[in-house]
Amino acid sequence: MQTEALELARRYRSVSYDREDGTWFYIEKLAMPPGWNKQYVDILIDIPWGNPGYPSVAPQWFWTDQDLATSSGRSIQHFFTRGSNLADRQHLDKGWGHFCVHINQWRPAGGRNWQQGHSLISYLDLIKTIFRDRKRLTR
Amino acid sequence: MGHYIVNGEVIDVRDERPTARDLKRHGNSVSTDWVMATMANGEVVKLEDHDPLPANAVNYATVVPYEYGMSSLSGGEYGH
Repeated sequence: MQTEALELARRYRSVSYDREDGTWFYIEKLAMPPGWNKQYVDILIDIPWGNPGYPSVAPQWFWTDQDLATSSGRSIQHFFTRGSNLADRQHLDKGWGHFCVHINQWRPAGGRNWQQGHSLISYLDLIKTIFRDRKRLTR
Repeated sequence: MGHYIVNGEVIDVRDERPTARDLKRHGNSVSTDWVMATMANGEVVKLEDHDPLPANAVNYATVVPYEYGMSSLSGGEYGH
């Protein structure tokens, strides 16, 4: 994850991650496309851990500012701001909301060839696409 | 043939009448990735591999295939 963090820091400037267990990755001030109530949001990615964990297993969902809304005030589908699971409630209590997005064909390359397969960079590209896909999220 | 913005990077594509598959090949994307075009009106359109790149696209993304889901969190609700 350290190698990926270096590349993500080059692209997104302010990033941090769980250096002990590799269970989360944080990006500060991701620029938002037009149509949202914020110019920047923070992103928190839960990293699958255990055996198998990341990168064999794709991140399941991501968290962002709980007060994210469209600039027109329309509701956002697949964006959740409440939960009952204790671990998730801790995130929610800290002001995070999460998008529920499932990945279907995760193909990491791993090792030195990690950039030829899916990685956290791929996942960030997906997050940015989801934010550009505002019209589908607000149908 | 031309330059295209893919995942924020400029990609030089030299094929005549390039397709989504060409964009993935030049951008070193995973072959199963989807190509998503952001159109001038803000709409995001998924292209099939054989689709030519639309002339009025602003930029592109190659992304791992995905679907929107319902949270497994009981008690979750749509935001806002």
